Amino acid sequence: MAATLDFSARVNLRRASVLVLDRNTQAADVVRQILAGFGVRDVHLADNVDEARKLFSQNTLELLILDPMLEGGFDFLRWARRESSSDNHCIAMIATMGHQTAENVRAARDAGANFIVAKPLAADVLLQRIEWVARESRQFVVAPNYAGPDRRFKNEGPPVGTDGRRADDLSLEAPTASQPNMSQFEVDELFKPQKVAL
Amino acid sequence: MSKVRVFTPENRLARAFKDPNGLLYKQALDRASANVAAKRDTYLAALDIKLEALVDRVRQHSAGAASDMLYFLAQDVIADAGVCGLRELSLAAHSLCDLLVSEGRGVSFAAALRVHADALMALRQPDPSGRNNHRAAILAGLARISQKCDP
Repeated sequence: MAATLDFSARVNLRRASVLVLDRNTQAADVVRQILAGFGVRDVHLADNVDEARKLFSQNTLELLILDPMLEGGFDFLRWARRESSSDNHCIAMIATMGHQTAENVRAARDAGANFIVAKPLAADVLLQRIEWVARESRQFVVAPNYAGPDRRFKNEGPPVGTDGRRADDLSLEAPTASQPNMSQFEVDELFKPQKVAL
Repeated sequence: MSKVRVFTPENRLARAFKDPNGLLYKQALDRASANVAAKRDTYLAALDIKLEALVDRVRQHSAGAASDMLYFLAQDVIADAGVCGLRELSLAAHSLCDLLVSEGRGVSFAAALRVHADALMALRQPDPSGRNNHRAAILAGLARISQKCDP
């Protein structure tokens, strides 16, 4: 996903209400200043999970920006997606991280974050991610072990050595050829852009 | 069999990007940058306090001691230094975080931590020579140390 912005596009976040949860109060203030630049007037700041739970439950939000690397941070994210009594379950949730190890990124994704943004935060990157979550059409999944946006960005086929669970599942391992090679025309036909419904 | 619910929720943010009366992206970004720049001195003062606390803790750190607070402070320095334009300081703090994660796996790197603390203090000072090669050399050295310590 290229980091380019269409500078002629417009954004109006005046009516958006945003909750920012960050243990680091300077980092939270940076987010607030950036959001103010984008036109957001209603920003709620929390530096601990208890405060964040209250604010999340008491307000109708459009966006949650949090650094889950605080005590109870990932649990808060899971709670926000699943157990909170507010109607904010399905809002856009962007996780920010100073030290984004693969383990931390996976944990944030599996707790229900839409996207993860590396700190230090840059205004253009944050605006782009907010645009992505505003425009995305990912479905929402509620399963026993997960609640959040559909995590399946790409189809890599069923695990090697299994037949898959669907009739149209194809393995990544190519079987032994049973037919003659395709003609160039047949190959070209396969690469013709076609409309796909996802 | 477990029950899975899949649905398309209302995207409340979507409205904001369809409004023809909104700010141009360029205006929005300029305003955001100006807001952050206006508070740079405040952020720098807070950064210096955290940096001092971080370095003190590193110097007192003993093998096997909990390093949670060190890790939190190092992450703060990554974020705060980067926002203030102190890129090398931010990268050095990142290297320290890598080291602390390695240490969390049960190995102690007290000497390597102290080298990072010294490097952080050095990188916080402006380079009077104006050449960046010294700073780049420090970062390269830190990266080598972190790699070496990654079990």
